[in-house]
Amino acid sequence: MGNRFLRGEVLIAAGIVALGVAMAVATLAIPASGGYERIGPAAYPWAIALSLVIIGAILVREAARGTAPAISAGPGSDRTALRPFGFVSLGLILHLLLIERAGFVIASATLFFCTARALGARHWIVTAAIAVALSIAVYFAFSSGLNLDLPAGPWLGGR
Amino acid sequence: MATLDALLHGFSIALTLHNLGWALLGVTLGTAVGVLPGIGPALTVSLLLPVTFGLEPTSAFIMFAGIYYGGMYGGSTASILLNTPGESASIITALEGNLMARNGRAGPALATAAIGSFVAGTLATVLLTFLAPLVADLGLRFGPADYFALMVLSFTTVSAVLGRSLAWGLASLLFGMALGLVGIDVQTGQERFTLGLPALLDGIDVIVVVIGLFAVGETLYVASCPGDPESVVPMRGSLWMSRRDWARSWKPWVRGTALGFPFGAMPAGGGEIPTFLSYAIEKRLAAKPDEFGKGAIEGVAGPEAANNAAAAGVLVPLLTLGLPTSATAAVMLAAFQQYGLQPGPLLFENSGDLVWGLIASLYIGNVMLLALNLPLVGLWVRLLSIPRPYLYGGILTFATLGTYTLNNSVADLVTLYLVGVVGFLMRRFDIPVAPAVIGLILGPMAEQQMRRALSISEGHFSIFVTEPIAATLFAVAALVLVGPPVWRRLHSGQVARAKSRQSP
Repeated sequence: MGNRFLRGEVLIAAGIVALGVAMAVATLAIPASGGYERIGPAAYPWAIALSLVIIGAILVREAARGTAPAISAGPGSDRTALRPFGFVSLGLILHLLLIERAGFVIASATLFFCTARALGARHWIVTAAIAVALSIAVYFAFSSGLNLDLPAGPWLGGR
Repeated sequence: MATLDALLHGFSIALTLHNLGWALLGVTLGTAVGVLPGIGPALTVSLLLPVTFGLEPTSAFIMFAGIYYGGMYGGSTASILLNTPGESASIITALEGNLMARNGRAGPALATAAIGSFVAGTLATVLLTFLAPLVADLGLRFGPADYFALMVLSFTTVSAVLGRSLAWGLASLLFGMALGLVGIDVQTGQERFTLGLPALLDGIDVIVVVIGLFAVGETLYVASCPGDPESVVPMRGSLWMSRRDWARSWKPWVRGTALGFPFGAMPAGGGEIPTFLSYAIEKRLAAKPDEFGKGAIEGVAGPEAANNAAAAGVLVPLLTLGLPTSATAAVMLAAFQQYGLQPGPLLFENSGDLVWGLIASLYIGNVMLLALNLPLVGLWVRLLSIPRPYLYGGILTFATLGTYTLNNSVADLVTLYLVGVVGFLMRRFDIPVAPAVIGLILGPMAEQQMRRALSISEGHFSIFVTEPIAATLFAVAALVLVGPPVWRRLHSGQVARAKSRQSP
């Protein structure tokens, strides 16, 4: 654990303060006039923005001093591996770029492939085959079986 | 006995072939997702929402309730055989149950968990049946100020109970509440925090956030922080409990139920605490306390019963007051809203068929789950052998499918990914996720009630202290926030004084 972890915690706590400040700035743009209740649509956001800043500040202090209750040991190891994180992210971003251009099957198969590779699937031909087979099966089950409107893309009779 | 009549009517709805089918589908799905790592009932109900749009609400909720109860049964199987508790409420089951399995007593451990879940689930459903109408009557007398106070109370308890510290719990809650503010203010039509994006005018969908936090966040975490792979303990020996196992189990079942139900029914957030309490009590009462930590059957029977009883208890505030106290309950509330229904006291009057059909289906679901889990446990175990890469590939395929079909919008997929990254960070730094989900759905409702109360009082905040119910609830909420640190300080002061007295 050690310093890497503490630094991360301080950063997250600082992020909470920043979120509160950003909210407060955005709340300035909301007109504060109210009806009978007098307080209007800006009062509640003010309360939340202020609470975020206060809680964030408390957490920054706790984390910087190292007095925060210890993180319960999860199954995960100490270090974050960036490559698999990037692979899953790549899959999700390709999916949202592809789904309306290339259709559900291609977008989903790409996502499945990237995710499975990120989690250590070895045989990439087998993985690709499963990805395509699952996506086609899901496409037909959901679009014909359950009448959901999934983008077909130019390959599956195109709509 | 109006309640019994209503319950009988409920059975007449739940026992139709049609609804029995949905209940069976629900408990089967629920058990499967409970067994599989990485998916839970909250995520499953979220993913199924778009699919069930065309379904009659009663049938849909009978299925959701089956998923909810089934997830508990499946979760215990996974924690006993794999030692990976799917949710915080089965940590204790994993502790003692996995040790039993390693000692070749997997069968009795699974049996006491399943039968205990059945006993506790059924007893707690009986309590729910008779308590819910009473609470609903009480709820009819609540004004906006009282509701606001009740929500503030559940905000504080949920933040205090879930996770490693109150401050992180509150941070998670406030993050959810901040997300809940995005969109058009319903009372004035004012845009708030939309960043000028038309996609944000309708607000951020609770379902997208739940899928992002649970499915995307979890996958990112598992992919980038690989731990040691846990191995499945093979089933050996008899599946059945001996006479001695029964004798040692039945009292913990009953005690676990008595602990779990009140904790669930109070707006106090979930089944984590009663499982810990049950474990401690069983350890103290056991004939051989030294067996605890080596695989004592009481340590599985009690906490597992407490867990299931709490799950039933959570339905009391959800159905009668519209108050969710767990992530799954929050998703169920979102589901009610999708159908244009608002849980609360009026639900019992306006949608009697749905409420009582749902409650009756809980009894039926428990019987189905017992039959489904004990003899078929070998089948569920096989689910654990799905290779992780394919399992998580599948989870993300369905996560994106569920998100996209919600509104056929790519913007939702962008939200899904961003929320997923936040979910990853929360998982990485052990920040509880459930308060954020509850804040997101309950935050806007709390604001509504607060402003309604203030318009009754013409802007005077005094309404929150002059209304007796509201004032009491606020006092309890303040106690939850301030009590523990003050108590700790007093306590440590005593310890320090005692120490200084001892030292010469």
